Amino acid sequence: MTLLEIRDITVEFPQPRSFVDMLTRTPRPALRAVDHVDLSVERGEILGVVGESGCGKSTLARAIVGLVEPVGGEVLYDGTPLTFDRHSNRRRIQMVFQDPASSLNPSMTIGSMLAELIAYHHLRPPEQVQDRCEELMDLVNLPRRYLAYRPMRLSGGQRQRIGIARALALEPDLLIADESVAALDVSVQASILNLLLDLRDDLDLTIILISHDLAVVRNVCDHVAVMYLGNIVESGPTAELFSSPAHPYTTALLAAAPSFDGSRPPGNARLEGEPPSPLARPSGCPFNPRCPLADDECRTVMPPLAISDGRLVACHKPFASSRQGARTAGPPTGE
Amino acid sequence: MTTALEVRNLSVEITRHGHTIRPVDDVSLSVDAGDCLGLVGESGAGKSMTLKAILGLLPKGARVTSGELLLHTAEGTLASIDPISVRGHGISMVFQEPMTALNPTRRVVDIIADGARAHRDMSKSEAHETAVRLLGEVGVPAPERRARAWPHQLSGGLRQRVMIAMALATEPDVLLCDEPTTALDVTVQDQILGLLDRIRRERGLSIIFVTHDLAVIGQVAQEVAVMYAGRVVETGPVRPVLDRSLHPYTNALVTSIPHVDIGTDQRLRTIEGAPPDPANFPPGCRFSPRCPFAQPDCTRAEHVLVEQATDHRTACIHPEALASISVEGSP
Amino acid sequence: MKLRRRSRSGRLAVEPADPVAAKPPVPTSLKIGAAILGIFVVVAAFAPLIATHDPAFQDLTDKLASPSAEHWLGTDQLGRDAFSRLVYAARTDLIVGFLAALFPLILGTTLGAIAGFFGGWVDTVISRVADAVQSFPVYVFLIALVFVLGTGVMPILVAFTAIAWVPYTRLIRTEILRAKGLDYVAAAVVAGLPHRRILFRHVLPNSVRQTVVYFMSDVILATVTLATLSFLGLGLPVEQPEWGRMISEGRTFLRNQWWLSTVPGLVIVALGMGYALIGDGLAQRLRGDG
Repeated sequence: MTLLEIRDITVEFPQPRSFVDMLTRTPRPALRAVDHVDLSVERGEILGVVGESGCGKSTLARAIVGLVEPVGGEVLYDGTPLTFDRHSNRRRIQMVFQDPASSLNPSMTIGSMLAELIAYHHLRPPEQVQDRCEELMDLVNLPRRYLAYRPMRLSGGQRQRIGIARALALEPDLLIADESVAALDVSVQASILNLLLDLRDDLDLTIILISHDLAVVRNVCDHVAVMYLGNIVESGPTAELFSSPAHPYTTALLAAAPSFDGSRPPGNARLEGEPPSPLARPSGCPFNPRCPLADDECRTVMPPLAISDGRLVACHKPFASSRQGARTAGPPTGE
Repeated sequence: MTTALEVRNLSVEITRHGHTIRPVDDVSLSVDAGDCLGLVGESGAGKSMTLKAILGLLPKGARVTSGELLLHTAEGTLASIDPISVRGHGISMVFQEPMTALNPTRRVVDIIADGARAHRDMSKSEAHETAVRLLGEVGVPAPERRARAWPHQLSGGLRQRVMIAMALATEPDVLLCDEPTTALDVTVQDQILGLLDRIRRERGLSIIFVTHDLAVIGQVAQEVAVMYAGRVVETGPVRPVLDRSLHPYTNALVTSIPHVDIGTDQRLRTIEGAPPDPANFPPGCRFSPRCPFAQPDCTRAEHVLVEQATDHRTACIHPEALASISVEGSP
Repeated sequence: MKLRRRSRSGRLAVEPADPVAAKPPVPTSLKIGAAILGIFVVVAAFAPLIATHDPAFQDLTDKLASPSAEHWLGTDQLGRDAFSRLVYAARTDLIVGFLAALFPLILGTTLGAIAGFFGGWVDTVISRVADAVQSFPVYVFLIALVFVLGTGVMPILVAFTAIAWVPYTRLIRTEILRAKGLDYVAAAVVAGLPHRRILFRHVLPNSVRQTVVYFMSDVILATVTLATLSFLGLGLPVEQPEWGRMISEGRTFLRNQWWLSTVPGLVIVALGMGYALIGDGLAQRLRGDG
């Protein structure tokens, strides 16, 4: 059952204009961070959104929770459109942030932080607020006495657990974790990922996991969407997408991921250049300047996200099953 | 195989507010000529501090209290040297964040040319030529044109390439890399790792590569040293150390990271507890409070790296416990 | 893979037993500063008990007397007891100096919070007005204002407020712009909390600390400026005891009755030291918080 459906969402950030530009009425340039994205999230699944910096994955997350207002498109929650005023059912979608150092108010104790949210939304009668706070600490496996602490007394991993508790305080159905483990040490990262998995099972949560780390997504998510320059270029079930990527960018991304077992030498992806700035989007397919397969069609016509080989791919020349060999050996060079 | 750089019994102490901590405790490392040594550990393990001590770049308040640095010289002998004198001669460093390491008020070509001229007497035009040649060597497209650029005009990946060109300008034998790809995107990381691997092979360079990312180590390193709480706990050739770890900490690290190539049954293994505070290291084996195989005598264990297999040394006094588990547990 | 299955995140994941938690000690400078200020406050509060004479009582037969058991600091050119005037002046200088910094703090913080939090054209207007005020030389502007508004405490406070709010606005605006970009504010927005609550509970408390430190140095400045205005014969009524006026009046007799000017001067320095030490101590604590 679809819990959240994103339809044709576009997010733009207006850029500053010089005084001369204003006088000459040059239109304000806009940075299009998310470009007509469609995405749906099934109830109870963990959806991974991967991509490199600047691909729009965090902006997409912020648009879903209402931190930025899209210039176009709509978000359907349980079949009804989410509005951008604060009294809608937005409480049902909560977010866990990246940086454990800046995501908690340093001047409030953990307890007052959680109690404020519970009391403001009248989620419990006043006399039960304290019990609920303790319950939340149990949920994220932290000692209850931490309720009296301020964030500066806690370690990065503990703060991230508090961030999760804060999100859970509002009893959401959907949790968006925006690079929530990126700033943590590997051993702590594992415990936070496991916590998210436990919560999904125990509280029947739906989770969108935003990450740049393919390995994290590979291990935790049921479905994956790959973003490049504001567009979703490929999405599908995790195992299939990782074993046989169809979009040349996904292929390159996987080839570039460091291989623990040393099976891929460094420099394996043979991908030239870096992602272009969203201010200078290429025409046609956003990946065409770096794509070894690009031709004139790719340079002029934007490929739609269409079903190909059992998943959604936005490419004029997706890899078909017959080209399995080329896929596993890294992206074709095109020569 | 000759040794290019050796660090013997290095200890670094920091005194702050009257308390002395020892973030690097009796660390010995060596890297063979033309090899890459991966130095891996979580934050606070002392890996960056070790690199800084080698270059004499320790922050204020930190000092080397013991240790020797031996560098392979042109005569083929090992000489004990002072960190200050090797800086720029024989050893260069590549930092994590190139934007803070590149002088923003100088053009790229001048930054590299400065290094070249500091190392060897040459004319300005010669240094300029060298700089452009190096930019080409590190894969900067259109080096002639890019040489005129300012650091802020370059993307993260190009900046890191300029950093590497700058490090190469002094014709070092050993390159120290401190998390050089941590701030980069995965496709750019792959390019930079490929570049480092290529120049290592082409120039016969030795590299010490500090990272927290085991997968990167598995890709670029031949030798690896695992640090925990200021000490090297396991060292050896990369495959045996990662695949048949002889220290429970290494084993726990390896099993707690997610892998791209294989999906696990979703839940990852975690390490109980957190790395200890340098002001309060536990006695004996410092991993023992978190170790699932800890025995009573671990808290009295002396820290000695013992060779258990060819070149594969561990500080664990009960490596057999781990060996039995991995045999039983492997699929 | 036995090990992997066994581990649910929960039990195993609890991190260090109890992180280092000790609160940083109160800085010595804060203690000393508070003690100095405390003495001044006590003196001002109990001025009638401490003063030996009526500060306004003139005894023209006993003017410019040297310090004695009767007049501890001698008498001034009108035969008034200098010590008693010094004690009573503490009331004027403490209160007016404090208020002359507090009102700009309130106005400046409010405007800065509005500008920073709401942005847009409100921000533009406030910032441009701040620029305009700041472009005048402070003393010239202040003296002109006091001259126009007339004597008395109110005109002084109005003049100070009209000028000194600018740095507070700038400070708070910058701090709020910084805080607005932080994730905990975003989290409060996502949690559906109203603007006002976010501003007052999540943004302002974390933005005012720098301002409090600045306030301490501003109180010194206001106190000294008040004394300067009185020295120039502006501001407060002539008969009101005030350190700046005491310095000004005593300066004629500097050769023979040097204490008439010097002691009020030293008192101002001592008060300034007190405020400065408090500010320094607060700044130190602020840094200690990390």
